[in-house]
Amino acid sequence: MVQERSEVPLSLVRAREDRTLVERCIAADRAAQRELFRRESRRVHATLFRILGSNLSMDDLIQDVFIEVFKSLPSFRGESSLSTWIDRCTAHVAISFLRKKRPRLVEMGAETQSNATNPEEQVLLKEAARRLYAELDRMDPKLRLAITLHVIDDRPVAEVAQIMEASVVATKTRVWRARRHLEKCAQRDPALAAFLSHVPATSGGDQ
Amino acid sequence: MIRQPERTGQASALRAARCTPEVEPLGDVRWARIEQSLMQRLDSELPAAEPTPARASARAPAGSNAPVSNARPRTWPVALAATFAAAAAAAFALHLTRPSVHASTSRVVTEASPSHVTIAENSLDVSPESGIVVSEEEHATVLTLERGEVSLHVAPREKDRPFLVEAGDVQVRVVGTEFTVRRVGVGATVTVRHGVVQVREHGELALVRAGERWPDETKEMAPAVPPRAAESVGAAQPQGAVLVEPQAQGAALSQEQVAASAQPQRPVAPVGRQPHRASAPLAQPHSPAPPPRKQGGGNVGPSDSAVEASPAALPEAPGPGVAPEPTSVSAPAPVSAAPPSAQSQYEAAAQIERSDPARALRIYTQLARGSDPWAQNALYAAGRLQADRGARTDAARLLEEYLRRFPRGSNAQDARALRESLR
Repeated sequence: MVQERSEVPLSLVRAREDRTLVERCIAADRAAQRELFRRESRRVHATLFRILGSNLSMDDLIQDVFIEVFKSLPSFRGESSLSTWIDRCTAHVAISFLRKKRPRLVEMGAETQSNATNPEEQVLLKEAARRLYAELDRMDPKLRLAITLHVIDDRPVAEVAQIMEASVVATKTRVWRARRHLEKCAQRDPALAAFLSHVPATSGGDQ
Repeated sequence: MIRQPERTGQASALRAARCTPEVEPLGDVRWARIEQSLMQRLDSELPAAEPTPARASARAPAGSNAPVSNARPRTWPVALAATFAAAAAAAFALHLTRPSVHASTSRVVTEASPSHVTIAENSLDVSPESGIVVSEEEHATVLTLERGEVSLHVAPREKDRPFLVEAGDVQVRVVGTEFTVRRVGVGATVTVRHGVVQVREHGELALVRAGERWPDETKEMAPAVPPRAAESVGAAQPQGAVLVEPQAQGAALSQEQVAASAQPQRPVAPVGRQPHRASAPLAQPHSPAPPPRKQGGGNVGPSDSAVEASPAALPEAPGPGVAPEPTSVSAPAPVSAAPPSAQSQYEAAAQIERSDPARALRIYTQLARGSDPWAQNALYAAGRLQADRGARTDAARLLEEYLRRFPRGSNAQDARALRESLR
């Protein structure tokens, strides 16, 4: 016999829980703020990491994101999911960081995923990732954000546009410009060229 | 081109090529520390009455559902500088020396180098690898020592507006004196150079005079909770507090203070009679010796949690009563038949870095030649110290050597970052 299930979609339940949590956070309920931090902090960290690479200011940046989240929660209207809204805060903090100062580059070494059996290939891949972030450091923050969220963080263009509060067309243009910038750099950098050869071009089908 | 239906497929393609940067995990201790710092910042920046929908909606574009942008708190004091200046002028006219109640929150984080900070008439020396937050609150100026060590010279203040130093569960109340607070797990140690302070912990009180340290390591019992457990617990649940209330040197004690001093007191050791760190009780030759201090701040990577979580990883791990004053502690000397351990030598070198960097470098270099776990710390410390001294070539050489010998060492990331900054 099939057990009857709740008619309420999971997304609505989640949205309701989010709303309750948001209200408690707005009321400066420290327990709720801790709960939200514990729920979202890993995701925020992952997003920041993919945008900025390994960074000595990561601890501060994670805190900054949540400070912004808690300060801005009164303006959250539930038009997007809480997670997407927090991603937007994360993007703000990342852009703000990139505009403020030149981030200290940390080589991508052990943190680069590499199951390559060939040691030479391993070294090349690590070097490629390091070069990628070195070039991203020279890029306009908005272009960087667009391409890292889309290509490295694997988000559809539409979602990136939502996070960056830009139109889909503008976001696609940013991704395209960022990619073109990287391709130009790759002409004189074989490691980066090898990295980019794995990146499919953006098209309309990924929204 | 094949795409994943739910995602773009670009990262998937990269993953298939095994060249997607993998997110570097943070250890539990580090997450706890981030959470604790966040909560402290919330306490200072977003008190309970803070949420102001009106303000937020005014800043957010209508109907945008957008978060209020750029929340870095360091910018808003600048925007309000004119207001504060006017308030300060008014206060001056009324002969009020206390700073504005609504003054700013400032954060200072040092990495390899120390920093000197002046706040009004107070001066702070923030040691390397330390983090502080200073905020003006209604009844006090509050300095939160997130990690590391800070030495303070606090000018005499009105007693109803003290200067508070919070270091984990320890709170130090300052009216006007000169002393050093050092973080030890969830607690702290206090070294007084001028004045007299009154220490309160779990109802016990002690008077600590100039030249004395609190607590006395020779009599102090070992903490009931190992530092690792204490740190993680302390991150979420503050425990008992220590109150240190200094008084002007030679000043008569108030009735409350006299009464307090009659209560059971914890031992206090004169600095001059303090047993040396290299002495037997401090050395732990039989215990594994992970890195004794977190070098380079910030992002240390997966091994970071292990480093920080270990009792021996804390600078004061040997005992809760050690609060060395960097400039007054000499290099280790054998005090018994047993030679000083690598750990104690390392710690002694760390203490004299500022007063005698050449000697500290010699000790580090000598330790680096060894093969025990302290060798890698010493090698990194030597590179860092040379970088601090401006010897860039030598610093780069030492850091290269570190990375060659210990490519996955606990300081490897910091070594790479430092080497990068030297280029």
